[in-house]
Amino acid sequence: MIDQTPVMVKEIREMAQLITVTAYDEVVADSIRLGMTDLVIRNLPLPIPGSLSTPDRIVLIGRGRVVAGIDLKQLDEKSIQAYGDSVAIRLPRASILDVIMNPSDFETFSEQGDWTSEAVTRVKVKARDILTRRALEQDILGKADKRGKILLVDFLKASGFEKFIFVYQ
Amino acid sequence: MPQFKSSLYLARVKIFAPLLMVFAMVSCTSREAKQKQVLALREMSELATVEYTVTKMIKASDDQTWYKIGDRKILMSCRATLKAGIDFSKIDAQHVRIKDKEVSIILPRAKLISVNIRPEDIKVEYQDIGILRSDFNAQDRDQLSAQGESQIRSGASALGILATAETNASLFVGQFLRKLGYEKVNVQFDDPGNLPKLN
Repeated sequence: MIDQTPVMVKEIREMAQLITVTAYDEVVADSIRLGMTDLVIRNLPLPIPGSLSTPDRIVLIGRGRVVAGIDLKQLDEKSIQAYGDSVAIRLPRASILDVIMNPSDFETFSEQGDWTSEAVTRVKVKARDILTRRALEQDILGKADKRGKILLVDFLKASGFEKFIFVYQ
Repeated sequence: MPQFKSSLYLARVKIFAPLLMVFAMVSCTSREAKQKQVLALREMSELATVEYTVTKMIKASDDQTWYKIGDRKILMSCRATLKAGIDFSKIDAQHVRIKDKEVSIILPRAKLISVNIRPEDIKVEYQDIGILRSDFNAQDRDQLSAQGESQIRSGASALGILATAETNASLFVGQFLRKLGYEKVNVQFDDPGNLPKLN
């Protein structure tokens, strides 16, 4: 159990990110390196069978989410043109806003040998890259664009508009 | 007769072997395709209006177990980003009143959207391991970091993030509606029985 320590605020950033799609996924990432026994065996002047080799290995299972959406902060005066019940908006394209893999999202499936915190971090970053790549392969950005348009149309309808034109920046 | 049997056997092998190979290839490909699929894609509708970057020290000492001889102490630092905002899909015609160039809108209350602790933002600052004790492994460090994450999550509202998120949401929606041509904008937050009014 950890001690209660204060949470310090370092920075506050104003934003307007419309989160439109989240991809939830589970990935496996691993790393292998020569263990101490391996190094000793390899330096012996004797023919030792390869099956005696016992490399250090770490296997992590990571569950996380890739968050995509539209940065509405990029909308300026020129991006919105309204006339009567019609409105034209020049929208920024959807982008990956966050890739979230927190400590509670990781499970160590196997850990052989001593792995430093930095080495484990590299494996976790690898897992995060796999998660992002797989979400992009599923066209998360295309889906985020479409969903963003639907949400804005609903909002504009509620705000009294009936005709909409969306153009991408 | 035995010759006829063996030729029949060979013919069967010639027919079925390619079929088996095709079946094996198809099953492998479909398994790979399944593995490549993202677990779930979910449609969202949140407008994040503020991001707080916070830091926290994670302190733990493992000296309470009577049968373990020697202490184990660790000190880790972690940095997290917290996002808060409103559910954009909850704004519908019921929450908006329009009168000429005036608009009044009721926004849903702000909520914490995400807590993100990147793996590279957790650092072991110090550890003290007794001679008879084993090092903290990846699993131990993750368990301690997860407790830190939980403390950050539970303490988020005390940081005032929700109030800031509502202020920013009000400003953003107000500016957006002004860009749409409204001259007077009144933004309120949802309370039970709150109906939009025009000033």
